Amino acid sequence: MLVVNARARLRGSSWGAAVLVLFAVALSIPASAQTWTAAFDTEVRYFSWHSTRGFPSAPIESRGSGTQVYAPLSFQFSGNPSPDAKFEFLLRSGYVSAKQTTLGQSGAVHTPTDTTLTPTFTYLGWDFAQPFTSVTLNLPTGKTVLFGNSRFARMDSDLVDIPTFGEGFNVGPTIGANIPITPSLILTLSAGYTWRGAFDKEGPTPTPPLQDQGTQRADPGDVATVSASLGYQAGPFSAVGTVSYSRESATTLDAVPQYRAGQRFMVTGATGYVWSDAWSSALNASWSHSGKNDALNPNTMAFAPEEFNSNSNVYRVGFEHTYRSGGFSAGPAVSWLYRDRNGYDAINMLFVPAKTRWSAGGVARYALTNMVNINSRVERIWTEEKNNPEKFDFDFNSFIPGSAIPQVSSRGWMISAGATINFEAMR
Amino acid sequence: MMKCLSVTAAAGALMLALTSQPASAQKKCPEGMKNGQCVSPGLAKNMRMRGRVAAQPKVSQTAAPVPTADSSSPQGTRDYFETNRGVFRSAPCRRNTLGPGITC
Repeated sequence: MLVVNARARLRGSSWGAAVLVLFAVALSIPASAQTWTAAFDTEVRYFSWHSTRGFPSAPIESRGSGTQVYAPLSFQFSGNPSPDAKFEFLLRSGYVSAKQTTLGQSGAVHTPTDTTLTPTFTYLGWDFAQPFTSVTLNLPTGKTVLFGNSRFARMDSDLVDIPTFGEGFNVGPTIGANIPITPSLILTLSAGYTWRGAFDKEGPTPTPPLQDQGTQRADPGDVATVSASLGYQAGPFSAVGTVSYSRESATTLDAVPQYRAGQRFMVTGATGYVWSDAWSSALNASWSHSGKNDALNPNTMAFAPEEFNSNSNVYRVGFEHTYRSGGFSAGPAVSWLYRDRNGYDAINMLFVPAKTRWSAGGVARYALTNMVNINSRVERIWTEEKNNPEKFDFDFNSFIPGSAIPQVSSRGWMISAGATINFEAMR
Repeated sequence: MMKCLSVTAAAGALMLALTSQPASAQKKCPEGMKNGQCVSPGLAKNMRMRGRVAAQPKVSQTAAPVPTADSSSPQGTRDYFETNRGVFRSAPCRRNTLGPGITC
């Protein structure tokens, strides 16, 4: 394990150094006139929710609630070191403070999030395609080990933005190309591999409580993905659609294989129309399907497809309508998300009921100056998770008393305010 | 992984080598050309970002590699990440079906 970790760190540091070298070379390339743009943006997002159950839902009846303050930030810059090349760099990080206040499930965490660095190179010299390559590095600046009750600060991702607070070192190289069919119709093909490094997480809660909790080494599966997108933009109309396909390797815990996620298909689309100088609309939708996971057969120690599909399909639709006047714009925004029940019978322990999420609110943006934009967003959130019936114990051939969870209803707010500062420089 | 990284690094180096040659004609198109016309710059930039994030669906659970403003706007990539989150994050957290919740 130590050797593996040392190799991972070596690979990570080598790759990080290579990125910095490429970055420096890109900046040092002479050109007659280069325009570089940079932008810094940040927000503060406040989430507050209450529910008929805490999270994760438990059969014991206890109303749940929680709050999260999340402050993401990003810094990006881009430019053309030569007429035939474009270099872009993106840094993304943030800070999160999360607290759940549910009887028996109360916990809090305050930590930076992980940090990602993404340099991208694009070659623009060909007429038939503009190839690009990038690598995203996830630096583990967040927190993965949550001892004791602090683990309850992990809350429902349908109610807060950050449901978990960190993971290991990730390296995600991508190769792709924009293929213009016309100047306003582009096909984009890309392929990526995400190598996800191992990290420590807290072990099971000890009994009796005086024992040390300890940690476990989690190694999430790596992911290989291919995608194709088609986008069109001309006049007041724009539309884009993306399909992607992913395969994943096995996830291990303390070097013991746990499962291998099923193959996954995803389709997303978005369209926008500018009705007039003042009014515009944007609609987006997505659908995702994952096949059966492979589960480890403890007798043969080999992976085999699970009996039924434990994954759900996810559907999402969002709509925003905006009024603009001068540097000010504002309008309503709504969204709907549906995650259907998984493939197991309702009395099985592996059953996951259907869940629906709605949100409605509004957004506002204002250009303070040519360089500075501010924005704000308010959303009311509703979620309903269907009841989860009493479970059946096949060993004892009887139902398990008290194992049912009735429908879980949650309500929440999301309020955010942020700013973007844009810079432009000639070299 | 090293093979993937090598391919990516080689592609990056090739692009740098190609682009470090002095250009005889200074083009003004920020995102390249098609049939002598500039490719729509906003569309090309958006498509490249979509291609990049679609190829890295699990690269970071807390710092998605898109600008903050894009991650909160339906017109950006929010639809992609919200669905992504719904698929990859919630299911293992809601039911520890296969061990003690790797991603929770």
